[in-house]
Amino acid sequence: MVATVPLLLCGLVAGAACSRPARARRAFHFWRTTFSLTAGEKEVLRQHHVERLYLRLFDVAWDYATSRSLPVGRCAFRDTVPTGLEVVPVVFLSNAVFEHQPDPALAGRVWGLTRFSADQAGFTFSELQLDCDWSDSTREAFFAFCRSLRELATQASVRLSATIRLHQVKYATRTGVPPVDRGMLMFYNMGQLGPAPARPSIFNVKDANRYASFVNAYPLPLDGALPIFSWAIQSRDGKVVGLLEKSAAASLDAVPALRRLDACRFQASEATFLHGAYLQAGDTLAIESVTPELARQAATTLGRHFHPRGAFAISLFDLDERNWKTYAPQDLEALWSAVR
Amino acid sequence: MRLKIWKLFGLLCASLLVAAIPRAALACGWSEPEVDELTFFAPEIIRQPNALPFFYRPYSSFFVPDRTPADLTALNLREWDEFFQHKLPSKDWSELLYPAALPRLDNLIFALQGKPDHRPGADDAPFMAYTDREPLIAALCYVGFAKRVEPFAMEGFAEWDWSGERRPVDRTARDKAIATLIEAGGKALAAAKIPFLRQRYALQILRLHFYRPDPAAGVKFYQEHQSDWTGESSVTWRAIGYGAGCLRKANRKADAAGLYAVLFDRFPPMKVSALTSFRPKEEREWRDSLAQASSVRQRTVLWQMVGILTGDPRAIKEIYAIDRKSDLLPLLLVREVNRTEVESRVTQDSPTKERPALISFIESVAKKGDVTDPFLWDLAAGHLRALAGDSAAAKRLLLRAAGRAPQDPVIQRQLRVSRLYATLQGMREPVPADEPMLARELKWLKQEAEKNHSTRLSSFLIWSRERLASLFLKHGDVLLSLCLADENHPLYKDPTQIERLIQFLRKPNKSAFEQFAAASYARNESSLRELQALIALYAGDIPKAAALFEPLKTDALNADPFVIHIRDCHDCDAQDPHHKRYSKTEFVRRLDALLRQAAAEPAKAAELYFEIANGLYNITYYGNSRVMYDNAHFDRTPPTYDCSHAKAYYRKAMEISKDRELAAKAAFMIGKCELNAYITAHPDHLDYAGGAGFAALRDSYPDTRYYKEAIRECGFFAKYLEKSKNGR
Repeated sequence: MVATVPLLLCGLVAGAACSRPARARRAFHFWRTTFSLTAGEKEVLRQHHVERLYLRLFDVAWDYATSRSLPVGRCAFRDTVPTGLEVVPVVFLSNAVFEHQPDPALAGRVWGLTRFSADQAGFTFSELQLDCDWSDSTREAFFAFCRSLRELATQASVRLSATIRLHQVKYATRTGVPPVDRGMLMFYNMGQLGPAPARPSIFNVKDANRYASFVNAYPLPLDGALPIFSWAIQSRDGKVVGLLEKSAAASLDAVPALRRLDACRFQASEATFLHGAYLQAGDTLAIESVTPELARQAATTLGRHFHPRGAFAISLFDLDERNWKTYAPQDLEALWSAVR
Repeated sequence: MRLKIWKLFGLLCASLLVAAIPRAALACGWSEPEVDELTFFAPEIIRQPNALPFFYRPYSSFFVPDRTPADLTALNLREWDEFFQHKLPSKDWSELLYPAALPRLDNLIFALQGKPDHRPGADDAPFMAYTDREPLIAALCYVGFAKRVEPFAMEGFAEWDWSGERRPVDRTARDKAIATLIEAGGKALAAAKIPFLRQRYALQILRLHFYRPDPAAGVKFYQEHQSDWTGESSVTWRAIGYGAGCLRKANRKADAAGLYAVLFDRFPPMKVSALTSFRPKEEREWRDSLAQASSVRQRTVLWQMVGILTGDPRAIKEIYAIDRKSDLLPLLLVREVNRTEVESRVTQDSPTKERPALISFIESVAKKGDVTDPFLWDLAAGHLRALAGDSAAAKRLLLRAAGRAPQDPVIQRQLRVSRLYATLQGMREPVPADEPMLARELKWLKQEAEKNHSTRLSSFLIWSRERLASLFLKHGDVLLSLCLADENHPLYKDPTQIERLIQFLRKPNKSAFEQFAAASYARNESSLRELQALIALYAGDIPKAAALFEPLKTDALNADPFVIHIRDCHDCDAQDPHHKRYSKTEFVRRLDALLRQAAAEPAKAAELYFEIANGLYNITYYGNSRVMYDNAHFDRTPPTYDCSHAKAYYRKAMEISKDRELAAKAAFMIGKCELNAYITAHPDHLDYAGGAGFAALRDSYPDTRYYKEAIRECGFFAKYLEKSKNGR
């Protein structure tokens, strides 16, 4: 007995020294309304042994004309999901849905349409993710919806997860913790949007550090999402009027109506349509890009504060080739490896 | 995950506009104000009813709930009624055309054809009675085809519905089914002799093409069958819509834009859908659309569509440059005026500072007058100058507008509103000589607002009153100011000043303006007299309060104000079915009676003082009858948080009471008053050290039953005793 204890202790110490930190399951988000992968996107999934795809299946919006919630922007599947890739369908719900009279049938409808859509697209799923930036006034309604949906999902052995934004991590007591099985921490969109913001709004270390220390204490098991996207903040007369997604500075140089002001800013010298937006003469565009270096900073910052217990995934937002084509393979590898 | 542009814009506008909303529009929770609440310029003056969905709205999309389905259905039924020469009841045909199932339809066709074993249904009598069987049967066969097309057409709309119960769609089988239907439809089309039905067959086939993955085939079909869609029937326009859709899917966006422009320009039921389908994504697409415009008209329509979609005032200038007489200009003009009004409220800046180029353009066009309705431009320019505070320029422009405006009541009303607006914006101080005119105009405005149930005119009336109120206040006339636009003013703390206001309301022979002001005042004499009475009561002057309350008919209190407990439970008191009920007047009358009785019967004074104290306690914030001070403008802080009057009577009761239990109660209640004062001053109230009341109860009445009850029920007192024992 006496000899056993030191042996046990040694065993424990040896075990601790020999145990490997958990490895992140590699994932991407897919956020287009048509599911169709380019050759490059297929290759990046293969090359990096990506295991999981968080795929936006549809949104739920509030239709003011008929006073009810409706599914919109359903993902149309032109391709099949690559073999071996696990799909986590994501349903985005606008806050407005929960600002109105609660609909007890909503959870059943979301569940039904998710299963129907997955059937139609030819994939099965063991996790369903909800994306909703709930507020103080919609918290109870959203959480009630989560409880109902979780019951349905559990019966089908499906986990339910929800996106968790940074302010919800830091102020969990006030914002509440949704009644789901897991959270997906969105480690981006942390700064103030503005025509000439002091710090980038997608990711910056200073704002990240205000939230990151709260991550490990969050009462749900978490996965993480890191940014690799870019956008352009459209401003007019000093006010932000829009966002152009996936807008890189290099591509804007080719637009005749735009004049470059500096490394990251352009101004419309005449009115022009651009990628679905409309710029009036004089509007400015301030580009924010998550470069490989910035993405690595994001991953490192998260990695310093986030030590998951159990299996977890790190997803890059998002798979669109325009986002990662400036990343070398090792740049992407570093992002998945940063959290252990 | 993403921040949608529309949501961002809405949030930004919402946050900026909160400060600018008129007082009357504010409610407990903020909701998006309608544009009618934010603007004084009525876009209806352009007299284009089909423009309604496209009037400027700062928050909602300009899409009013789409009129299209109802309009198109009604139009379609009228066309069918013409076809049947008004001999088939429209209600019966509508039932067959829309909800009736295929089996019924097929059976009816067979019955009309005289096929054995096919009897008409109970509702088929009107069809059996219709004498011209051949076209009827041909029409029914068409309807059968259309009903077979419909599921494929509606499949896209399942996007907008919760249809998780449906089985997954086999796309190959679906496309094959569509191809089969197209073939069958083609044969029916070839055989159709009646142009009315040919058009419709062709439309259904085009619809099927639109829902196939081969838009080029749809484009080909549309172009080959354009001659089938002649005239201005709904089918023609719907075919144009599908043709445009096929062109767009085939990436021939400029060609599609041309058709959308035609639809937008000439078929009101599909204006909204044409505009939403049009949306250029890149500049090249837009320029190609313009370059391919087949006429001056089409170019101007395209510019109007872009102007509405993007809000860029450039559109109005482009149309003006192309065709000064264009009837498309007025809508963009009134949109710009409304936009400027809304933005000025947000930024609090003058439009001449914010949008000088636009103002300059509108004024130059107004001056030239080379447009179709030059008065509109004068009116718009005048209104914007009024908004900018340039009253003189505004009035000049409005005078010119009046000289050339038609006698249309909507236009004349706007002229009068804009003139009044210019006058009020230009006023720097109240001028007695202006009062008769102001009285006349404001009275008219109020009548117009009520007669027309107009939110816009009501908003303008409120604004006008507030504007005048601020001028009167600035120049010392508080009474007129408060009547025009009431607010929390120090006058309401002073009974003498309140009396002045009452006397003004009672004044005989008021001028027209004074009459208007008095009629605008939201309160009445009774509520002001109650206010005077409350001031006296909360100052502790019971006899004066009773005298002031006596003539007043007042609301009931919701509990017995003379009951008291160690631990307050207001709901319990209110819900007690046996509680004595008092109106405010009856309560104060009783207080006064108790006071006089206490003076007259000293032996009972302790109990009477205790009861008075309870009443005074319960009409504070801490008591069960705080509705006592429900009166707009009664200044609740500090009097309603002040238990000192109650405390004084509890002290009197304690000091003279021969009943030790009563004295103990009074001591405790003194302590409670002191505790309330402490809590008010220290919201965390963590370290209450007790006061004279608790000390008196502890020191002088430890032998009473009440003392023991207080320990049991009042945690503060129990803790106080414990600290006392421990010498803290």
